[in-house]
Amino acid sequence: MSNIVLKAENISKQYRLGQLGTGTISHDVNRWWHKVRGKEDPYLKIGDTNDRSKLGGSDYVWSLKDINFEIKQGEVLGIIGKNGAGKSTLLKILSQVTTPTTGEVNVKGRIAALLEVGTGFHPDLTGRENVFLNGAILGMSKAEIKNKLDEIIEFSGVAKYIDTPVKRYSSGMMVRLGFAVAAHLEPEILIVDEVLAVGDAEFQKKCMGKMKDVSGQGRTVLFVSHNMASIRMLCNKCMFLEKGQLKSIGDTDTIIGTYLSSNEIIQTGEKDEIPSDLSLYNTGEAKFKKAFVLNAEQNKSDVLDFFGTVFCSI
Amino acid sequence: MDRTTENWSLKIKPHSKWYDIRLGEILNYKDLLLLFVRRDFVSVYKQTILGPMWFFIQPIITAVTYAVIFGNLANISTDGLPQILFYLSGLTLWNYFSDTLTKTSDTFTANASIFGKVYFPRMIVPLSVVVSNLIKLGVQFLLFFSVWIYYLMQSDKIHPNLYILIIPLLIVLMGFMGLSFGILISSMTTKYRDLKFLVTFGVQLMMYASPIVYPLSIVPQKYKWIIAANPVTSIIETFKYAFLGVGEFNWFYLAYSLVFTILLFFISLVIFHRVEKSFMDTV
Repeated sequence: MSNIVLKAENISKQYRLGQLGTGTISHDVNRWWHKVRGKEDPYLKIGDTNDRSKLGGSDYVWSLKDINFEIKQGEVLGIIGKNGAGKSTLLKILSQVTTPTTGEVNVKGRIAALLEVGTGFHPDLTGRENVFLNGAILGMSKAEIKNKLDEIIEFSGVAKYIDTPVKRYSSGMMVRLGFAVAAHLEPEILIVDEVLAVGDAEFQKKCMGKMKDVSGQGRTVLFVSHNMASIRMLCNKCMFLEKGQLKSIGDTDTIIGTYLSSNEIIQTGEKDEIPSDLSLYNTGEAKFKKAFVLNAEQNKSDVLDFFGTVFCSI
Repeated sequence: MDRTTENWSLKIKPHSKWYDIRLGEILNYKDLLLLFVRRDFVSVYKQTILGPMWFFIQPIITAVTYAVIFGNLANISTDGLPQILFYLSGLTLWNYFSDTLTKTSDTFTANASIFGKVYFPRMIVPLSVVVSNLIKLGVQFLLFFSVWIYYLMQSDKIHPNLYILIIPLLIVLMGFMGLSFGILISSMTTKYRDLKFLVTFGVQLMMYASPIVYPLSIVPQKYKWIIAANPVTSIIETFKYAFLGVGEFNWFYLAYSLVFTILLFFISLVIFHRVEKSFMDTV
């Protein structure tokens, strides 16, 4: 029987737009006055949906609105969505960096969040000292780190520089060391924000392998990325956030398909003709006049099936 | 599985009860606390030639400056004691208090980048400041102790007494008072930073309201209550009385400082805990 290790009920997060300043105090006083009289926070009723490109009428915005989901033990859940869809806010709530405005999350087991690599690295301390510091910040005990120290250094591949202050490191080396520490965490639930994007190809591959190991050991992983290939490789379940709302959740391939088809960048319209004013980078030597996507039956299709066979007619 | 039978190990909710402080959690992170202490020490004196010698140099130069300005130019009495010893005895505990206060008063703003990425009990950071300042106090105490021994041999004006035994209590009180003021200020400055401007300035004013550069005995009776209302006063006076045998010792004043510290600590702990949950949105 599979166990639910994380259950989020109706979580929402409201943020105030604009600057904090003297204008905010009147709202604070008003909010406090409502609370004293036992009334609901007046500013919770208002607030726009989270659409970064449109100007809204309200100063308040719902970064996340009514998110409900459950994760079972051993699942690897990918979270996808455009910039500003609320992915990081969700991770911040789950990792207890901030609280939800409403709703509740219940968790079983230890959570470790990797929202950034090398959090708390001190530039003047050596690599080795920073491994201890960073590991402890992420929730490891000193004994645990000591046991894994050799492994961590080996994984990072910066053994030669381990006794040099990290301010002399290249940014890539810093990331390697940071991820090496994080990779040796052993929480029941691991939350990873897009941190693999940095580092070279070889190291990224190593990281992906490590993440696969982690999930193979029956631990639960939440993974945010814009890289569909890594999401596909790692996750057996996927969640698609749009404008702070949970659009869909389910099988990885289906959800990625939904996500990608929601990105309509160029509307060609009925005629399938490429607009003549569409010009990105060109030399003008050749020009495509028409382009359309065909599905497996050679019929015109609006939806690009990301993993199926795709024909293009040019 | 039935919902009611499930036992969650962690609940993340918008609000929690004021008394839900989860102090036990701090124990799980004691290694982190020690590593922060270590970081503070190692990083401060990296790339300096004198290194930890600076711990001695600071109080010596301050004491000498006070001796010149307050003792010789302003001619403020030191109750007949050697000036350097008198000022050092006031400064040793005062520095512990003021360093702890100023350094914990920006806990949230200074650590926003770490706090924004990882959760650990936020209280670890100010506690680590208390511990590293305690070590610093230990070193400065050695300095005071050697000067004290020197004058003890030299003159007969110094009369240490059994009250020396309550020195550890004084140190604990000073530490907790500095911590409480610090985290209170830190909690109140995440959203509106006005109070921040008062810190350095306020600490300086408080020093002049404490019997450090003058003995309590020269304060006119009319104003004595103001100085005595300062919870630091009785601690400094008791310290001087215990080591030097001059000044005033008053159980009532000391009890006042004790009660003040305990109350202040609990209030600031509750406020700190309220703020730590959501300060990331307003810092």
